[in-house]
Amino acid sequence: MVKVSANHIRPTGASLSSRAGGVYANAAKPEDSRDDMPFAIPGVPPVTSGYRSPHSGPSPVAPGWEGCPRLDIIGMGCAVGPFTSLDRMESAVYSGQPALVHTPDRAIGEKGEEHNRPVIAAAEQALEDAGCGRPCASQDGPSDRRIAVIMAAEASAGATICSRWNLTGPVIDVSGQVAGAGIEAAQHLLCDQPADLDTVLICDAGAAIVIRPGARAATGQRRVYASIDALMIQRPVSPSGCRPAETSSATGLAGDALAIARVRPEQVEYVELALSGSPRLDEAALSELTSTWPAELLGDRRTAIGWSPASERSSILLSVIKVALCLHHSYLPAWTGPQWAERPLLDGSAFYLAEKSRPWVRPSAHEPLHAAVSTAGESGRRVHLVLSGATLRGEVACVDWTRADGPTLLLIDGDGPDELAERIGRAQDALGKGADQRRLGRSSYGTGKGSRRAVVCAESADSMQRELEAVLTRLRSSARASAEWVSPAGSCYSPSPIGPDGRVALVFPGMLTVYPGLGSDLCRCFPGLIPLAEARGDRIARLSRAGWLYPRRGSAVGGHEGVAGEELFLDPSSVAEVATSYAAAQTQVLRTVLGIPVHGALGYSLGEISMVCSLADRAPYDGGKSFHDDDLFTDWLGGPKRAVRQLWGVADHTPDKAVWASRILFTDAQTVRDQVARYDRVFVTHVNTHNEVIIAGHPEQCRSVVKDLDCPSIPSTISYVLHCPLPEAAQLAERIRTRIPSVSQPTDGVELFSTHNYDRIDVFDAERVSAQIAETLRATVDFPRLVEAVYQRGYRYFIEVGPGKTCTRLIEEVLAGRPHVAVSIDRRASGSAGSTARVLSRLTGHGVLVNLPGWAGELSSLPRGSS
Amino acid sequence: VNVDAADTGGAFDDGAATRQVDGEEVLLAVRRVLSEYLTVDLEDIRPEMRLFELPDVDSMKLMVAGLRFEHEFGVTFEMDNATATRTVAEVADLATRALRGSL
Repeated sequence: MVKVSANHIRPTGASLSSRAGGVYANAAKPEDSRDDMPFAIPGVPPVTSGYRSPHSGPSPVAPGWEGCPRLDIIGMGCAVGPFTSLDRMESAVYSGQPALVHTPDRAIGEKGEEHNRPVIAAAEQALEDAGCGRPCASQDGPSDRRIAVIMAAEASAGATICSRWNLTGPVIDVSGQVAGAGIEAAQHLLCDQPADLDTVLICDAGAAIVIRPGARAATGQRRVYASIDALMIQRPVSPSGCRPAETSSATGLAGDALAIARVRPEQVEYVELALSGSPRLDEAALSELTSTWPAELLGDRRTAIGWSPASERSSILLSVIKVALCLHHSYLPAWTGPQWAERPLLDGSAFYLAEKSRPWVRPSAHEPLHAAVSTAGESGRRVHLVLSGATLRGEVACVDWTRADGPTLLLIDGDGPDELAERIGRAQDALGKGADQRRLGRSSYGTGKGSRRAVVCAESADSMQRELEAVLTRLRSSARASAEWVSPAGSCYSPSPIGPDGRVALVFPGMLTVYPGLGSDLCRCFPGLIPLAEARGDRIARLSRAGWLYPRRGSAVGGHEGVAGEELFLDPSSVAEVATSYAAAQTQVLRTVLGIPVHGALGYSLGEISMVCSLADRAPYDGGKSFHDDDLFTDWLGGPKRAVRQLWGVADHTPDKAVWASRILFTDAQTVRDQVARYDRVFVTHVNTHNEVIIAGHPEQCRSVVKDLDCPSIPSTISYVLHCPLPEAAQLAERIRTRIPSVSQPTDGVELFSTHNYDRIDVFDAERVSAQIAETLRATVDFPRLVEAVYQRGYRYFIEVGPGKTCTRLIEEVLAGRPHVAVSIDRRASGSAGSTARVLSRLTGHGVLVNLPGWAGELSSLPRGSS
Repeated sequence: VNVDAADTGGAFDDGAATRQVDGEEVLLAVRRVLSEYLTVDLEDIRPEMRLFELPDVDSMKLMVAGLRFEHEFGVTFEMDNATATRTVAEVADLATRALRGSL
């Protein structure tokens, strides 16, 4: 039984009558509602309405949502131009395509079945997405669904939707009303209606959402994309006599919306703008926003701003869906709006434009993300919404490889070049007949038999064809030369694979190898990392909030967002913290998500701290202790280097550059050691390879050593007073101790190697571990010696976790000519997807057992036994 | 290990297929990026100079120049310590080969 009625909502009820320009069914809409009146009428104050409890006071600023809970978005649908599904729209938003440029106008009145198709498609997507089942046939359909339908456009499609889905709730037509009226109507409906109605479908031009009152959605364990916490709509004065809700906040409508949502401006990290294109109106709207988000209040934190076009009749739902997707998938979207480099309102404001999408991780499981949608139509009417994050994508899917456009691996197994060539030919045939490359790849996991394996790594069917051809041409030459072959794309073949018996070691680089944009797609590939890190107490959220990692500039136009200079290291404590968090996250990817067997680990310099934090059994961080907390790097060992000044009696007014210097020398390590021994204020701090050495100390003595040796060298810009005996041992140990939570020996048997004794750490007591690491920071890092020690214990696979591939290069040089595989999980410009695929390719090519089926099947949850 | 891009010294190893890249243009681009980050005239970045011989060079400037090159050309370009012993022309040659394989 389908009911299509406009009478289920009271246009003149107590709560409605208090809202000027409130929600009307079209049939009941007063003629004098004057929705087309420009808001800026001289001498006539604008009128606002907002979500609030019917029991609250007259001011919308007064918090009071007791009667009207937040609205949880549990289903969404999109059918706008080329974006015929939610996933396509999400992909466009992430990649920075102007997804919402061609926003269709909201139509009023009957325009026929064809015109209704997008709104019907969007509605059906949203209903399916919300778990409402599927459209029903007339005879054998499911029982009635008590769902209300609000049509903000294409009202005639409402009957079709109700009929196809057996929806028996009221149908309300708000088409022709201002943007946001649909959401407003839904809020009042859910407040006013009996308990048997708890779900509302809102349809607009090319977009639809399904909402429920917050508390009820939560009890059903349903995925919630985001919650709408507040809505404010600005309308013209209604001559009907309805008492308007006054805007009492100094920051206007946007400030009122924040007050209702009980959110402070600095908590809102993203504002989606939907502007009219009229410079005068847009600047007025921006001016209000900049007073709501003042630069002086936010300081360095700043708020990202996004853009979608708007017209009086365009769908605000598209903006809401975009923001809800970003909250759910934990990223700030790229700016896709006009080039505003010259806009003085943005320059100097608290807002910044992101050139590319970037991670946006909630501070903790108990602190949701907050965002706002702010629109200004052609008439200048404004609408403000405040939304907050709810369910994370990572709580639904652990791996999102396809969404991240990650490369596919195809395994070709055989007993020799001839058999491999024959199977490569079969794969080429399959692709030639139109086989999907991802499906072809998945079919190869876990089924192959043979003593040799070629692995193809490709991003598309075409590139897979090319890579197959490349493998084919290299098979025999590689076998003849007994040399492994690796293509630039990551495909590989080894005629002498190391096999699964080689032990796998993780390598933790020094902490000063970070770079702008680090890990930008890590959580997109592996969304499950976020809840996992939250459970472990890892500080993954700090990755997304480091301004030097993801610069926050007023203009994205013409800048080099991915390039920074020395400012990278102005905050070395933060750098160290990010490096540690990043290495911990990648460790989780390799071990927990991809199931790579890790037997041991080693660290370079401060990387030993990352190693212990990532692999030793430990209690979660308490959140209070971090590298941020003191002056270890900024003052004592870095910056003015007070440790040196104190010991050598250097005057305070002496420039920092005259206190300490560091230089990289390209010559034999022992020669350098012998020469340095002749000086009292210069030290060999790092032996990177047998022919690459770093010295540090008094600048004049460093120059003198280089002159004596007459070898190639370059100054090292970043130089801390480390790996020399100057820092006081007990003091250093105490500082490290505050950064290492209580640790105990890894229960999974993982061996941790240290330059303390060039062997395994055998005592896992936080005090002892801190003291040992402190000792390593007072002695030369002899990395070749450490690598040799690890190699002697049977380790053949070295996977560098953390930023960059510095250690990978060093290991390749140290172990040159001996069987080993050294790879980095983080290759700049490749992204996490490309880097991870290359690592998996090399490891599986050599026979390391990896959970490829789980990875390719895109895990919906973490494997059993994971922490 | 015989990596197709291994002869690039590990500085460049992205990409799959090949594309047309003008080596002279890449050399000019490398010199331009270096001159920008070393704040010296383009003429002072001569192809035969080793990176460690460049005026006012240091490890950070090399790294940042590498990042800038990556940003402009979309290839992994780790202008690290090891690269410092190569000449500008050698680095440009490595870049050219990497770019040819980066489609």
